[in-house]
Amino acid sequence: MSKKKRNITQKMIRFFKSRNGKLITGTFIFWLVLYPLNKFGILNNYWMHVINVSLIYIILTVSLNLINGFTGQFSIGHMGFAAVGAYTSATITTILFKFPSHGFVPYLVFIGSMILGGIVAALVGFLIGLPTLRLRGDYLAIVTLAFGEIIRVTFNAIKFVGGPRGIPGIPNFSNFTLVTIVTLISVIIMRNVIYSSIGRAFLSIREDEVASELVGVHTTYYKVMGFTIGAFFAGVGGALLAHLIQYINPLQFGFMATIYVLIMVYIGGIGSISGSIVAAVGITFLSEGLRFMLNRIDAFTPFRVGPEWRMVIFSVLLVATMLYKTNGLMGDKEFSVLIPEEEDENAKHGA
Amino acid sequence: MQNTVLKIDHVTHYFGGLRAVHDFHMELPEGVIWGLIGPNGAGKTTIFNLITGVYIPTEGKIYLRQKKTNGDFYLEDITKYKPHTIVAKGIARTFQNLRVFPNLTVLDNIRIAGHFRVRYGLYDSIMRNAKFRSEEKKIKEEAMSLLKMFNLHSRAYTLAKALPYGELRRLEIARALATHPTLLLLDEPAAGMNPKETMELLEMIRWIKKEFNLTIFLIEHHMKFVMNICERIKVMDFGETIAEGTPEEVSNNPRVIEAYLGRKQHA
Amino acid sequence: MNGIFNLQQIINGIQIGSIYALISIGYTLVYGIIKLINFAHGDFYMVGAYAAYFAVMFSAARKEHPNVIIVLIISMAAGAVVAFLSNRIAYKPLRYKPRLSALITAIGVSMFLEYTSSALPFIGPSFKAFPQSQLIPQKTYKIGSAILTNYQIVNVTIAVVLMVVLTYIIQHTRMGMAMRASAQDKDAARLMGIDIEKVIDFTFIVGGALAGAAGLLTGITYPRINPYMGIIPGLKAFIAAVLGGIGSVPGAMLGSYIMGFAEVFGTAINSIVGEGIAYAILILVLIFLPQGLLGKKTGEKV
Repeated sequence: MSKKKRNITQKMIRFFKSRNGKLITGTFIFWLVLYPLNKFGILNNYWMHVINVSLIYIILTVSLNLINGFTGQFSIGHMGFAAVGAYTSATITTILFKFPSHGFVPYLVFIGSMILGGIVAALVGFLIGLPTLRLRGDYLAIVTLAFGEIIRVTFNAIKFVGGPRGIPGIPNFSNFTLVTIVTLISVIIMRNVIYSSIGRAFLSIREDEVASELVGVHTTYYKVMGFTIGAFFAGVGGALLAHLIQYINPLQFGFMATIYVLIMVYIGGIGSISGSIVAAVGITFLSEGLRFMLNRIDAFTPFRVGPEWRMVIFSVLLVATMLYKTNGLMGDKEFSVLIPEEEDENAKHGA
Repeated sequence: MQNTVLKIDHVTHYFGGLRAVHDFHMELPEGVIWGLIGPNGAGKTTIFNLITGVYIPTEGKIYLRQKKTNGDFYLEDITKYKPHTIVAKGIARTFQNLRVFPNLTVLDNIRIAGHFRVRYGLYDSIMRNAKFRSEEKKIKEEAMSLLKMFNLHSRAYTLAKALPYGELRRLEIARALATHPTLLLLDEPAAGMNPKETMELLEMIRWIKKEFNLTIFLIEHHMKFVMNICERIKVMDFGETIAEGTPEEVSNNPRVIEAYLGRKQHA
Repeated sequence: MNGIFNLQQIINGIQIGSIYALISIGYTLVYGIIKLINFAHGDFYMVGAYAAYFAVMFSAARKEHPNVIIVLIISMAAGAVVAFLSNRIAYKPLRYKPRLSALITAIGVSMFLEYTSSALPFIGPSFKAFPQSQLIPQKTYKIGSAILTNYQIVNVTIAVVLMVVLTYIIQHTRMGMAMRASAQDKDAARLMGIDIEKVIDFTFIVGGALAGAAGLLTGITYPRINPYMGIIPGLKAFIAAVLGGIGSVPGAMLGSYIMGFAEVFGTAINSIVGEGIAYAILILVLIFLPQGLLGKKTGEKV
């Protein structure tokens, strides 16, 4: 083999052995297994849909964890940002351009609209964060809740995007391949931010905001940054959701929707990306499984057994987690594959 | 005087209707160790908070020496600056009740103090480019060498909250030094220490002053400690300055004895 | 007599303000003593409404005429019990843990109450009509061009009576003094021999009882109830408490009436203004007057 080919081969081997390489390869294998299973009818569309939903919730959960878990800010209006992303991109693909859900150019426009949705959501996050992030924890919670509601009320009132009826007939751009790729990229980006000096600044704010400021961290700047980044990815997630479910209305993005993601964050583990991933997937699947079971039971019983029982179970799980494992299932631990090699020893902290 | 590092110019501070500090005036020269003593509630920590920008003084100004590009010194008015800006200009502090970052490793505690000097941004963090990698390496090496100096090297990857008290105090001082200050404020550094630890602390403070070329201003209750290490002492009570001078002068000052030392002599 | 500021609006404003006041007091009492925004408080109000509903239906089924006072006591008791249990089961174990854990738990308790009510077959997620006329036959009065129903009179009367009783308890009883002391400095109170947990229990019971009463009053005046009825009024009552100065009972009352009027006048201008005015008030208060109208400015000790 020539020297050049040997170098390239060496580089490739090093890549696949590296953590990033394993992460990407693993995701690729994940896709490689499930895609044909679905294409050839072995894995039906319903469960494919659930997988897609759980992937999108990974993005939503990790982005909320970035704000709440890593930076320690108590934001509970997160789905408002998702709404902004959803409405922005859906307006572009459905109202401004009436696209079919295939074809090269429409796809590009969709991806552009998804990124734009993220950017607009980030802008909204920035504008909200700037005046409010100096408030104390519990007050910040109420304000973010109020802003989430304001966003919902606003979309409810704008006739151009359908008001309370929302936007129906959104083209189905969110296929498995795209969702997998966007989820992977989102997680890697957020992971990279967290394992950097900026991420450490976020953590210091969570640990002790006053002390952080007094070792030179511009706490307001970084709180707003964390908030804005989290809002961006929530917007991206919202855009993906809109083009998966193909119908959005303001009610889908209210307080209850945020609580659903909050549950994933706090049960998974504040300060753990892996925990968010596990919880997002686990709770989505658990929710579907429970929906089945409850349906079956309801058919049996003379009285109504409604889908609300799922949320009853989740609320009990949430309270139980807070009482018995306050930092969540995974606390601040990560799967090795997500930790950059140079940070490995630090992340494992003598455990 | 341009070897004045810190000038507190007739500062008075009110909390609502309560006057916590009255007409505090001080010109701190370079390279000395000055002490601030007084009974609890005298206003000592308030002075530190005023210097570091946690509070903005109701009256008066605070100046910090800065260096111009041509090497000249001048006094910059830092009265209204935010704390993180003041840290960047060269003042670092420790806290009365330790405020390390408990759920982060010892290494991370130090690295965060180096954050404001980091030369890469969000884009570099995401792309993991060469600039990012080289800066990260530098931060880690600097942090590790600082930890070595404080004998905390072996604890680098331990969570701060797992450290015993003495090591936590060392960590907090190391973290303050990681911001490359010219002026170091120590708030009751000997609190909770036994005589042996106090002697070690004394040695360490003398050593860091030399090694890091510092001016040091400290608050302490521990009388032997203060008399031993400070070149000059200011005494406060109820927000007022009641004496200022060398340790001998202060310990013989009748007002000081009455307000403070008198009670302490029985301890 | 037409236009925005007319007698009808004033009547409505007083009536809505009264309901918010009863809910708001509970928020402010709990926050004052343990610095927790009890997200589940609006759901104590909902529980009170349903307790009243079942009490009336029960009487009606036995062909008896329900006594208003007894139904009031039942709804207050229901609110008090749920509040007490929430505190004991979910909040007390987290008393000395980080405050955000307690906040999340409060959200969990709130969800639990809402979804369990919604899931229970004999309640269900949809609206139920509150049998107001079976409790009190309706009478209307005309004052000028304004209409006043006896429901509104009952509403305001009961609310005011309860507020007076509460103020008496806080100002002139030993428990009330213990509550005020604990709100100012828990540790000092403990050192004075006050059993803090008992005071906290009592605070939840009182707050829950008032919220439960508000639930009954809502049922009487707006005869539709559902498991989620506590969310928005709860949020608005909290905003009212913040407006008045969180931790201050007179502040909660003042803020609630201001909120009630703002909402009524806002809705008269435009329904969107009416919906959004509470949130606008919140944001303005937190940015410009964070201690509220009657609150004190506190700084953080470094």
